[in-house]
Order: sequence, then C-alpha cells, then structure tokens
Amino acid sequence: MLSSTPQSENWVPVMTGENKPYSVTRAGHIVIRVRDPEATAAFFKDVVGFNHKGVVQRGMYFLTSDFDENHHMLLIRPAKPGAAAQDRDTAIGMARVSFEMRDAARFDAAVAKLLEKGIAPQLDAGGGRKSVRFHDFDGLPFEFWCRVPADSNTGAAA
Amino acid sequence: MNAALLRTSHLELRVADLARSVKFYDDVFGFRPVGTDAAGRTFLGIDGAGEPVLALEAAADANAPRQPVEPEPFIGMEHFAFELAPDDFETLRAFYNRLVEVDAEIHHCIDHIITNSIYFLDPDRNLIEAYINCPRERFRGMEHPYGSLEDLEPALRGEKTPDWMAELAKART
Repeated sequence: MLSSTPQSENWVPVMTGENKPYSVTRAGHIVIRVRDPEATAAFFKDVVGFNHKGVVQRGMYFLTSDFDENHHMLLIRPAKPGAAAQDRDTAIGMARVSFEMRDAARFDAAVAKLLEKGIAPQLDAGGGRKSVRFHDFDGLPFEFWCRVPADSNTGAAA
Repeated sequence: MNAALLRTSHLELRVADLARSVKFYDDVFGFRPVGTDAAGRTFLGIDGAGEPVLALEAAADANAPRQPVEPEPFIGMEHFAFELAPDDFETLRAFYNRLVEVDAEIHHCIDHIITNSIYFLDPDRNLIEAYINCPRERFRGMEHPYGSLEDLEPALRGEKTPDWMAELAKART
C-alpha cells in the first residue's frame, strides 16, 4: 500500500529501488496555443493524416492517430487576444516537440506534403533513423522521425 | 491502414540551468540521461533507459525571455504531458506528494474525464502535466469525452474521494 503523505512511516522514496509508487510510461501529448486552430488542425491532418476524426470541443482540436492507443497526441487551442510568440531560437521553453512516424513510406509522404505547402523542412538521416524538422504557421518547432534500416541512411526523403 | 504517427516521442526544452533541470526531472519523474548529441542536448529516458522522452539544451542566455504561463496570453506550448502508471488514483496521490516533497509549484489539479491530471511548473516555469488514465467506462460512447470538472487537490491531499470515483462505485452496485 502506498503512503498518502511523505511524512508517513510507510513513505517510500520514489525514485530508487523496486518500490516506486508510480512510474512514467510515456510522453503523452502536447498542447499548443495558436492563432488559427482550425487552420493548424487542417495542416496537421493533411500532413500526417490523423486517423481519428478529431474531437472539436470548445474551440479546441483533440488530434490523435488512434484514440484507443492514446486519447490525444496534439491538442490545438486558440491563443488569447494579445498573444505573441517568443523568439523561437533563443527563448527559454519549448525548443521542439517530436513525434515518431510508423514507417519510412509515411515519413516520405509527410515530407512531400510539407514541401507542397511551401514549408522548408530540415532533413537529416543517420543512426538508423531519418528525421524532418519544420515550423508550423505560428513558427512552432516540430520534428517527425522514423526508423530505417541502418544501411539505408543514404539521405532523407523527398 | 495504420496511422502515420506512431507515438508522441519527446519534448525538447531550452533551459536556463541545465544541471538544475536535469535534477528536477530526475526528482519528480525519474528521468535520467541516456545520451547527448553534437548540439549539446542532454537526452533523458525513463529511469535512464530506452528512448528519450525529454531533451534539454542549455540556453545561450540564461536570462532570455520566457514564455508566459497560463492564464497569460501567448503563442506556443501551453503544456506537455507525461502518462503515469499504474492507472490508480493512489498513483496520482503519490506523485502529488512527491511534488510537495521536492517543493515543486503545483499549478492546478483537475478531473478531465479521460484522465486525472496534475499540472505543475518546472524550474523554467514550463507547464507540465502528469496524468493517470480513467476507466473507459466513464467515457465510452461520449461525443465529447474531454472535460475539466472537479478540482482534485482536496482528493489528492487525502481529504475525500474524487466525486467521479464515488459516482462510479455507486453505479457499479
């Protein structure tokens, strides 16, 4: 039984040993504030084709590839009046959020979509994976990556 | 056809004090370094193993502007969420107690129907969520399963049972 307070005699230090009362299983989701949630949601749906239809609730877009696997991966909310972005290259805070793609074919298709949309992606490959970094309409930094056979890193997609 | 996105991989944060942030995320989540890259990022994995779930890079200027935090207006990341296990309210209570123990600033605690969540601030005032998943019978068939209902902090302090748990127990009898 877990202790209810750190002061109780049953309190177990949480971060060492086998008796941790909790553990992190995974990175779950990110929530972003943007100027135009509808446009941003449409952008991501087009680029990576979220399977789930996306629940729109109180002006927020809850997007995921598989609701049963993860109820949301990306939540897009409207920015409040007067909102501004910080300098994306120097500000303290989010430097990037990264999603793993299922396979190289889907990765390549996403890169092609980015190029179609006039996004300038930064492509990289090596170490058994390839990745693409880009900024969305609001200048927010994203990464998609996928695993590839180690001997196939001759260059990135598209 | 399976979805193109497999999973949420990791968050990268630019931080004012790398050592401070590494210690904080170890203290609260048990994240530990699993590697670094040529750009100087430190990658943290769960219990120091597996794929990284967080990457930290030291800011060139520790006094660089920080994004405001909710409820202030901004464009950018509102928060990033990590999933806790096991899916039991005691898990969240233990995590709440840990935040208190390490003197982390708790922002709010809320029942979201699909999850029970604690929001807290890291040393750079990034808003981070830790959550447990709620039983599917709570939201099966709901058109809008994402909510913001009861303030869970009294329940996390052990003063009561969360309303939804009491209601679910009643419905099951």
